Amino acid sequence: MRHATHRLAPVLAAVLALAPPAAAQQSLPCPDCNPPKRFWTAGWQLLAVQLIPWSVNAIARDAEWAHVSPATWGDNLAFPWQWDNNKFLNNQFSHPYHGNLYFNAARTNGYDFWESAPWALGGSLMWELFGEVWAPSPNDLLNTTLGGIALGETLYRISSLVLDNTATGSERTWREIGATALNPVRGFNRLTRGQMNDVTANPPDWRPSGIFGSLELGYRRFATDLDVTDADALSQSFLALRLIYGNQVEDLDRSPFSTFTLSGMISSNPGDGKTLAELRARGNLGAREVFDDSGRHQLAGFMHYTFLSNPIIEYGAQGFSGGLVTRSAPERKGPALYAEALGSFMPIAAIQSDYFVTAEGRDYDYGVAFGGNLAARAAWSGRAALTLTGTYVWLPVLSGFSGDHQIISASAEGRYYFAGKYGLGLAYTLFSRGSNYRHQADVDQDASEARAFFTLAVPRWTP
Amino acid sequence: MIPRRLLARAAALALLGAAVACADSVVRQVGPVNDPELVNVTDSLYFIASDLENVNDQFTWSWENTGTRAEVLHRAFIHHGYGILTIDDAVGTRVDSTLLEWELDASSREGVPGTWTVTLILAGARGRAEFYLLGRP
Repeated sequence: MRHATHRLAPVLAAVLALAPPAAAQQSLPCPDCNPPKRFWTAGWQLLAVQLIPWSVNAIARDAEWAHVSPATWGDNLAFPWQWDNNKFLNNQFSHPYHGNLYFNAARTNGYDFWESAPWALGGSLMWELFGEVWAPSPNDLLNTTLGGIALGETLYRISSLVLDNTATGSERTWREIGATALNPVRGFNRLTRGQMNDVTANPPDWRPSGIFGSLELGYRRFATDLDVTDADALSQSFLALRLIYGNQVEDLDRSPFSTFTLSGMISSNPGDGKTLAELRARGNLGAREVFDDSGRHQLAGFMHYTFLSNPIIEYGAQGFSGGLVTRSAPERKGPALYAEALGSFMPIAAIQSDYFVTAEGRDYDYGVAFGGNLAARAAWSGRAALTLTGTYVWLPVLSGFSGDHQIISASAEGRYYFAGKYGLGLAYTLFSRGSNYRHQADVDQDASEARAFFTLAVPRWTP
Repeated sequence: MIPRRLLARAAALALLGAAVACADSVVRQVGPVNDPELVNVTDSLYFIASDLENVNDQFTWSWENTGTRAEVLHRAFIHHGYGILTIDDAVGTRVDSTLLEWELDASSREGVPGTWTVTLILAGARGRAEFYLLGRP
C-alpha cells in the first residue's frame, strides 16, 4: 500500500508546487498578468472544440445524427426539446467535461470567470441546436453549462498551479505537458503563442493563498442496510485524491474559485463499469461578512459539481449553495473550529430510478434538487481533523417516472497524521433514500458505508 | 453602400427564418410517402417507415415466436418525437417496453412462446422507424 502511494507522491507534489521566491520573479516580464481579451481567437477555438467531435462522427463514422443542415437547424429551433436517455457517465461527466472546454476557450483567451461563463452556455446551445440532428436536450444544456463552468474554472486553476513560467529544462516540459493534459485549450494556446518556453513571471493569481492535497488509499464496505458488517455488504478498495485550494474561510470573498475543494475517487470491484466512483468540485462565488467578533462569520455562495456512482447510489448534480460559514478565532486555544449551514439549489440533478430504464442505458430520473448541508470540523494543526456532515436533498422528478426522491445522509470522518505527511483515516456514512412514485410502489432504502484509509498529505497537514 | 457586417447579419437572419419556416407542424399518419415495409414471419419481424414528419400513429401485429425471448435490433433514427415499442408474450405478459433507439441491440425479458403481440406507437415522430425482432430460445 505504501509503495503505491510513494510512487504517486511526486505527481501530487508537482501539482502542488509552490511559487518560486518572489525575488526570482521581480526582473521578469509578466505577459500572463493582464492578458488581452482575444474574442475572435476564443470564438474559433469554441467552434474547433465542436468541429472535432462533429467531424469524427459526420465524416469518419458517417453517423446520421451528425448530418446537420439548415433543415435540421430549423427543426431544432421549431420543435420541442426532449430529455435524452444517455448513460449516467455520459450525461453527468462527459457533457460537463465538454462544457469545460467551451468555458476555457474564453478563460484562456483573457476572459475572467464571469465573462467566460456565458461561453459554456453559448457553446452548449450551439451544439444542441446546430451540432446534431437530435432534438436539443434541456439536461444536456444544463449539465454542459453548469458543470462546464464549475469544472472549467477548477481545471483552469489547477493547470495554473502546475504551470511555472520561471521553470526551464525538463521540469518546464513536464509542467507544460501536465497543464495541457488538464486544460487542452490552454495548452494549445501556450503552444501556438510560444509561451511554453518563454521564461517570464507567474501572475500572482496563479498561486492560491494556501494549498493542501492528499492521496488516500483504502478499503470501503457498503451495506444496503445500516450494518456494514452485514454478510452481503460489498467491499471495494479505492484510491482517492482530495485537493483544498486556497483558504476555505479567508478567501471566500475573493474572486470566484479563489478557494475550492476537489475530490475524486476510483474504486475496484465497481460493477457495471463504474470505475469513476466520485468527482466533486465546490468553489466560492462570493461572500459577505455578517458580524464581527473574535471569529469570522460570513454569508457565502458556492458553485457545485457532483458526480457519485457507487453501489449505494448514483447521484449527479450541478448548481449552487449559499449560507453561513463560520470559523473560530485563530488565536483560540485548542482545535480550529469550522462550521457551515448551507441551503442548496441544483437546477439539474440526476438520481438512480427504481423503475425508469431505457434500452440506451439511462437508469436514472432527472429533476431539480433543493436541500441543505450542515458541516462542522475540528482541526488540530499538523495532527488531526474530525468532520461531521449532514445532507438533505429533495428531488422532484421532471423526467422519468413521476414522483420525487428524498435523500438524507450523515457522516463522520476522522484523520490522524501520525508522522508528518503520513496518516490514517476512518469514515462512516449513514444514508437513507425515500422515493415516492405516483404510479409505482414507493421505495425506501437504507444504506451505510465504512472507510478505512492510509493518507499521504502534501504538504504536511496544516489546515 | 450597405456595410458588410449588416449584410452578413441580415443573411444569417434570413437563413434562420427560412429554416424555421420550413419546419412545419402538421400532424400526419404513416402513408405511402413513408415507404412502410413489414416482414412478419415466424421468429422474425421487421418494420421500417422512413421520412416521418411529425407522425402520430399506432400499429399492432401478431407475431409467432417459438423462442422465449425476442432479440430487439434497434435501427431507428427518430430525432424528434418518440417511437414506443411494446412486446407481450403468448399469455399477455409484457416482456419489453422500449423507445425505438439508434443502432442498439437489446433483448426482451423471457416470456411464453406462441403468438406474441407487438405494438408500435409513434408520437410526434420525425425521422425513421426501423427495427428487427428475432425469436431467441
